[in-house]
Amino acid sequence: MLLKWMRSRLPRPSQAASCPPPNSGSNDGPNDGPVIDLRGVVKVYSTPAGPFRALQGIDLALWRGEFVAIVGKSGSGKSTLINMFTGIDHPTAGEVVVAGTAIRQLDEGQMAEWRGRTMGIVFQFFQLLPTLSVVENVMIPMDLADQYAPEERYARALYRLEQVGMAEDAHKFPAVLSAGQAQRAAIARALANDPPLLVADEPTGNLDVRNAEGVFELFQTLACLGKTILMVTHDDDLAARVPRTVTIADGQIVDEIRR
Amino acid sequence: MMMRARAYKTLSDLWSHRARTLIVSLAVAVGVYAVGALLATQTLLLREFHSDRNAALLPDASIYTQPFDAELAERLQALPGVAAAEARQSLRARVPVGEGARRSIELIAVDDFESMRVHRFPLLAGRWPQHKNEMALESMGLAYLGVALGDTLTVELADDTQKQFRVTGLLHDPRYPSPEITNFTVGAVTPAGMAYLGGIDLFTELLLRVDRAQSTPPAVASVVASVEERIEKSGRTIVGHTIAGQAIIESIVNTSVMILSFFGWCILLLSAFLVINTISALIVQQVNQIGILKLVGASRGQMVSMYLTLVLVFGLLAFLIAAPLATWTARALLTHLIQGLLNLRPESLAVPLWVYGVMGTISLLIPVLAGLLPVLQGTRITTYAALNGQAPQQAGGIVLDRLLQRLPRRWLQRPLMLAVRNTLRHKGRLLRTVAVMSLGTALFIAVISVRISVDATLADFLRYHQYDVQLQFQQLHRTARLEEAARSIPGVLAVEGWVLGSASRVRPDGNDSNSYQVVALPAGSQRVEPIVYAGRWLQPDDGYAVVLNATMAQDEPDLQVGSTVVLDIAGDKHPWQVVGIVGSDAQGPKLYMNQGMYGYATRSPGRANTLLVDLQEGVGQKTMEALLLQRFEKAGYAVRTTRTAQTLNAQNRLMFDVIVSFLIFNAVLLGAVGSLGLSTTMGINILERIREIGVLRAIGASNQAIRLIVLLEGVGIAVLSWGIGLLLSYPIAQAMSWQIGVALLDTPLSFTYSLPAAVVWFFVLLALAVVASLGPARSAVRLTIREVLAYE
Amino acid sequence: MNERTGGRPPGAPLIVLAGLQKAYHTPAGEFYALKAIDLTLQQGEFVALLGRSGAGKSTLINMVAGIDRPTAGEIWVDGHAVHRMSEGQLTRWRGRSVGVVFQSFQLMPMLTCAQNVALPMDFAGLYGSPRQQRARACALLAAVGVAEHADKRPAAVSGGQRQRVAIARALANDPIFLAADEPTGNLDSQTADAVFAVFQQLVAAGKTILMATHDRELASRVSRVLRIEDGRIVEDVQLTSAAEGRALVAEMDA
Repeated sequence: MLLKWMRSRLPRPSQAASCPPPNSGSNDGPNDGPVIDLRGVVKVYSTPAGPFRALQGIDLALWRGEFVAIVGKSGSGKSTLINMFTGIDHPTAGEVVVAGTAIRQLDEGQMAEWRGRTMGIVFQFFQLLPTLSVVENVMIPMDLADQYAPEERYARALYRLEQVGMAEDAHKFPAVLSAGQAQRAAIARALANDPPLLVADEPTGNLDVRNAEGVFELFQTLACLGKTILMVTHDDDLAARVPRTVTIADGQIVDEIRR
Repeated sequence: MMMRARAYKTLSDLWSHRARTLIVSLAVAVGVYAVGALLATQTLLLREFHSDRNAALLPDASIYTQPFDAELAERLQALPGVAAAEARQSLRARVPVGEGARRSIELIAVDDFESMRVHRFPLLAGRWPQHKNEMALESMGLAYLGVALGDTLTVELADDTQKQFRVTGLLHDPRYPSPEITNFTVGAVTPAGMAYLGGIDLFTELLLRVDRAQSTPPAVASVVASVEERIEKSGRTIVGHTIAGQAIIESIVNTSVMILSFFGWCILLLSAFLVINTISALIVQQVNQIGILKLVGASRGQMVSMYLTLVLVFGLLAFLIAAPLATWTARALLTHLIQGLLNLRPESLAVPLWVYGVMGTISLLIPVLAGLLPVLQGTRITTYAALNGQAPQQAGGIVLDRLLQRLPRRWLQRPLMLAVRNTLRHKGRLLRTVAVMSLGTALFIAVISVRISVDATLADFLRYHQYDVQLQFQQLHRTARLEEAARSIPGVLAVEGWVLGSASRVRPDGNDSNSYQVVALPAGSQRVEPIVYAGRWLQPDDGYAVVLNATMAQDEPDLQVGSTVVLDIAGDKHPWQVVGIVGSDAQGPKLYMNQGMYGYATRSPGRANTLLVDLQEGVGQKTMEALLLQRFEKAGYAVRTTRTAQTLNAQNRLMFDVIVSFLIFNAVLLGAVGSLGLSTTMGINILERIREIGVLRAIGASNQAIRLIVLLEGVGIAVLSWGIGLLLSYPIAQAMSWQIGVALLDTPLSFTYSLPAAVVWFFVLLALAVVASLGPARSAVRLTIREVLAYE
Repeated sequence: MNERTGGRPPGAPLIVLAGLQKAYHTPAGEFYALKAIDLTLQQGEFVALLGRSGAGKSTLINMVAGIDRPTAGEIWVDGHAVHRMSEGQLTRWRGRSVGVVFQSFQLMPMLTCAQNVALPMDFAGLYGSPRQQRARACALLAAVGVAEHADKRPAAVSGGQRQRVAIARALANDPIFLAADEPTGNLDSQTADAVFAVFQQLVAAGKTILMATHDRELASRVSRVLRIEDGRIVEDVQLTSAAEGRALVAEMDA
């Protein structure tokens, strides 16, 4: 049975099958380019033991409505790759192009503003602000990006929470939430400004199987609604259920499966 | 010897966080310094003050009688209870100091300088006078009279005759503070010198020291009574006596010490709060390291001793910083400020070892006590929790959190709300920071209010001195003639004649009190604008009616409005009715009465011995003082003293200067502790919130938004502290004004609250908050998300 | 090593877990990270613990290493009833008898590598004077191949080297067994291989190692593989030879 489990990387029937196929192949007009395009991205860290090439030339484009999983062992370069997508870190060589513009010119503050409007980030450890209630956590990206009229924000935040099934807990503080609830609230926050792209770094890493499943299904639903989702995971079972899986090892894409 | 690995960790905690080590040590040092400087100053001051006065063998009482010789004094010394008795003779005279100005000198004739038994002057330089034209001058008199040792001094008598004296020596008379305060100095001459001045070579004053066992005032009074009886048996009439009470100099000393103590311990408390904040933050930051230490087998005892060692080093550093500074401050205060004002001659500036002992103990105890709880809490958490960076739980605060949930959502935007809630996050730390800053605020406003109250009080004193120049004559003259003479002098606008006399109270038990000054004003005089505490002011048709000032009321506590008091005015004993009590003028106890009644009692109607002169616009008080003196003396009036309203005010102010400068010094220290408090708290808060700042970045916070959140937090703490401090400042200011006034003047200061100080301090705090938050805000903005979210 | 076999009769298992449970209090109620674990480990075994994130791997490692305390059940290590120890006894016992290695190294940043290794000896009061402790620390660093970094701070060496220092520290007091929680999780594959090789040497020298990992390739090269899922051990496979392990890897890649 163990051997069978170890072989379990074979694809299972995808539950996303009911969702209409993403429009990556179709031609929809001017906004047809990739949501995010990595071109020859190289990242070198200088370490005391000499330069370390964390990414060695990555080409990867994400299209609207795609649900992409990035898998790889710890240390393979997954997290570095995520940092490139989110603009948290800058590549040593190559370009990150978003909606046709390279983002390397932006400084840390501008990058934050850009990020607030274009993408929602979901972390393994949720990272809700402990001094704000759940609904306030969802409202804060709107405040920061100055999205929507101030009087509209509360209703919108409640709607986001409803979307993730957390409307009842809107006025609780993060400390009293279970891990699964906290991650749902974090996803609602990532959706606050209705960004086209959702980046999730090991979103199920800190959840038990049942909660992990719930969060994953939420992502599937969002992908159906047209969000582009990039999820880093080392849960092979989940990765096997994602339409597009990119495997990374030692800073290079070694495998790519589309289902 | 090689260092143990754990010792190296402690050393590295100290050295690689030098800024933190310095801040904690400084925080402790400020408290230790405040208390150490207080103790050292207090100890030095009281020790030297008392040794100075004890060495002088000051008399417990002085008896004034008809002339007697030194032999009688020696016989009186044999009486039971009398430790020493010595004959003296004294005389007030003037010394011309150029440009027509005169300064007063009290000349004392001493029988034998080599064997002074009471009121012994130490000889500081030169030699004692041997001939009739030689004099030993009080050392502070040199500058006051503008002479040097060996110079010749002109002494001018009431009848205008001038005598020359050579200053052969310098003496020290600790009875009086600086001549700048008393407006006279002291010189000692031989009995022959006194005769040369027109006196006799006999004595009229007997100085008494009673046995130390009987030095309480009632015991002294009974010894005085038995001595007086013996003098009367020798056929001499007793003129009066003075029993020594507390000198003004003592109240200045006591008040200064009281203020220093209050502030010293306040500052120590506040610095302890700071240390608690920093050490608990240090422990929180080291939770992961505590986990590793536990992981590799460090027992709780081993860890507690490691952290307590760390904390003890903070204390040691604090001691090394604070102890020399405190000693230096105490010495500087004594030699530069107090010595000159109080006319103190310190024998030794050695700070006793026990003061260092106290400083050392506080230095080590404060950080240990402040650190013990956080260290015990920090080392109690389980290895698992510590390794996962779970800080020890903060107790309480649920109510506050509930309240926070109710904060209006509509107008409070999330970034602002985040700042507000962050401010309230660590309630204990916030409480301590706010305590430090609000107490600083309250004390600052209080200090400035006291300063303003002092000004108001000084202005109130002048209500009893409504003149430009006052001349007091040796004898009574016809009032009309005096006024006429004055009016003929150019520059004089108006003039009024008063009688300044004296009276003693015959107490119900038959004893005489010390003599009190009597101010006899013309009926309906407008020259006193009294602040009436009780009863009423004099009315033109008052007969045997008297108004006391507050100082007098304090000295004779059984007297109230409506009481009858028997006054002995120049031998005439008559009951008087107390009709009112008015404010004090810092010139001692006074009785106010109508001039007509006084003239009747003294059988000298229509006469005055004092002229109050108003000057025309633009005429200098000093010049006119000299001119008036010159004119009246030329006209044959013997002038006793002159004074101007300006010099009177300046003298009064001088007395408060010591206190006010102590207050301001302490306010500065408090300000330092407050700003240290805010900046460490902000630093700690931001350090703890690095990850959240990264999260904010990740969800779209610009530099400006992050800076705003951090700044708002600092400003929030400052505003909260200011608000609480403002509430506290009023009662504190009032209490301080009351204490200082009663201690120095036997009457509260005219309290005035300084609203401008509150407003100014608000902006100072605001600026402080911005500066204290700017550093952390800048580093918060500089952090990249990668650094912040680099979780394992 | 036999002179330190505590109260355990010869031949008896080194570690016995019986009915072990661990519940965490969460706002949503009790969460059972471990549900009734029964497990026996013999001396000299190299055991890999496999499972997804959240399955209970780390919790189990923490229980055995005495870092966290069980809610119910018994933990016997080398004849000592670990579940009955007080926090103080636990710390003392762990310092002398267990070596722990973490994914994130957990080295003291302000100490040099040699000082980090000497730290457990210092706390336990073993191995003589500070000078002698340092000599032993350097010998251990040499044994894991980082002797030349003895006087550097952890921040000045690479991740793989840091993990070797952490392993040397785990060996400081010559413990009976090593507990390792994702020791290669933060390392690239080459470095991970090298660190794994150190473990293999230690096992060859008679140490017992319990290693949580989600690297199946490494897991295939140990002597025994456990798989944990939702707080229960669901698989327990003895790999009797290196060939079987290689076969396993080959099968996986197929």
